[in-house]
Amino acid sequence: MSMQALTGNNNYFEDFTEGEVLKHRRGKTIEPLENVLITNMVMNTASSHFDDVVMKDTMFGKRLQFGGVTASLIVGMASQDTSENALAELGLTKIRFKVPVFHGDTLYAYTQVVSKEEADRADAGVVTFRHWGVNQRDDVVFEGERTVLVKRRSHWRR
Amino acid sequence: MSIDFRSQAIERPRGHWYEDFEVGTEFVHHWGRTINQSDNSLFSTLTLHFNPLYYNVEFAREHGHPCEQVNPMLVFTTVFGLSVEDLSENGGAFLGVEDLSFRRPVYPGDTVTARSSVHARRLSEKNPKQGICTWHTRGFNQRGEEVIDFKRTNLVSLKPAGASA
Repeated sequence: MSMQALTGNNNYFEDFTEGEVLKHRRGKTIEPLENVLITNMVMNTASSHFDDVVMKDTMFGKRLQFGGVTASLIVGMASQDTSENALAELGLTKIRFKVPVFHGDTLYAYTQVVSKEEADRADAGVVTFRHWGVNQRDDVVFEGERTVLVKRRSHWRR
Repeated sequence: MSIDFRSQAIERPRGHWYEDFEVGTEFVHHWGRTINQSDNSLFSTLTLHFNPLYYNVEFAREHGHPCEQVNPMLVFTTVFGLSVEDLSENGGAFLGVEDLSFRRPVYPGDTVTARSSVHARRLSEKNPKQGICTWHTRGFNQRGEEVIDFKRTNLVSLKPAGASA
């Protein structure tokens, strides 16, 4: 199996330009499949994510998506363009949840390349991205920055 | 003989309130979680997270790992999940995260545990029944090595009159 043939050739460190903004190809409609399954799998015990009845008398009226699932989906939707050729996820910061997400909402992801820096190894560089998640009404539901160690084509692609 | 279980039932107290979150207070969170291969590949594919390091064992080995790596977002959500009963189940909205570092890889079969300390708190200016807390949460593997840490900020409720815990 040729490993380099398994990932794309337009998302190495050399391919990112500071300031550029990407719209990612695929959105996703949120089902209990994502929200309830992941909330329960990671043992987040807050009933607001999986008990519709306790939510009936709240201002929301129904289950809310766990923010950790929203963050994971937005990073996921951005991943083919930003980290398919990553060696490691380094960190996240400035994560904000602006608008609640419900079952039936559809999320889309956008990314800006904030900065590119040398890494402590020659075969990769550090890229910082700013991500936005929006719903079907174009409300920004999620914002955050993410730093990734991305392979250099010069060392990894022959 | 029938028992009127509804009127007799008591509820065990769960979770904490704003008053419990003095800065510096430490919490060792419950349960821990062994992250399985199927958890990891299902999580990665459901969230459309397309880096083969997380679901192609041959690819991961080629990159110096013993097997596929656990998706870092699953490490984050698991450590977060383990902290919810102690920190935010009696609370309100999850507002944000700062300074999250993925410190070392986690592999399927590793067992993750979580601890937190109160980093900061203040009362809400908008809602007299709520405060805003920031905790420093850390996740560890079975060897006690730190795998992740982050600061999380949430709305939390003040202790209601008559609450038992």
